[in-house]
Amino acid sequence: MSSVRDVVNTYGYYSATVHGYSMYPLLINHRDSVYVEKTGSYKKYDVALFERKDGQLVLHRILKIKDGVFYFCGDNDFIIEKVKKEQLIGKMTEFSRKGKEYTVEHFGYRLYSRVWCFSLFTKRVLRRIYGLFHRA
Amino acid sequence: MKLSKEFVLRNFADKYIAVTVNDSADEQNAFITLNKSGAFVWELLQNEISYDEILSEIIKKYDIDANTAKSDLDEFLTIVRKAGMLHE
Repeated sequence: MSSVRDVVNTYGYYSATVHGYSMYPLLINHRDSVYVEKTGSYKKYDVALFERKDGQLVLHRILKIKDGVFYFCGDNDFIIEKVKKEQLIGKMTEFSRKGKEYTVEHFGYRLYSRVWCFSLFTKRVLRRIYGLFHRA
Repeated sequence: MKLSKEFVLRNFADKYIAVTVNDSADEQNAFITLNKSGAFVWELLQNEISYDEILSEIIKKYDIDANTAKSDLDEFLTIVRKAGMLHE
């Protein structure tokens, strides 16, 4: 099985531990993992896996969908990236954080994703407050 | 034998999925999906244990004959060995 896209298309899902810090403070590098499912429907606030033109895989959050274009941003990022539908691989339906599993229907997670990503401004403020109490 | 600590078992979508963690996650992004009995053996292998000890635990737990247990265990070990998850 060559690529992640092939795995998702064949088995309907993919799972891996996250790399990098772009989804901090939700997902921590090399510690937390995600469960990604194949889907035809994506909505605002979904965390989804997509493939950049250079083949790099990215797991970020959808902040806006307009005219068939998906606007992605990592929870720890402030730059919005435009992604086309054909680049999408699947969406995160479950994840583990500090060794405990959650679905994306979990109340605390839903609250977090809506508040944290309400706007880049609120994210910047919350990021700073969070940073005072946690060292990344 | 014992499983590498570089892999952890997660319970996603009613499946047992082993993923790489720590620095190994950079080298390979392998994951394997286990069934319930696979997850049982996975837990046994968290601590040093011999082949025969695992076998007797499986027989005790699932009330199956030695040959079936053996072929199931061998199949499991082949998979985790291939994924580089086993210390022997």
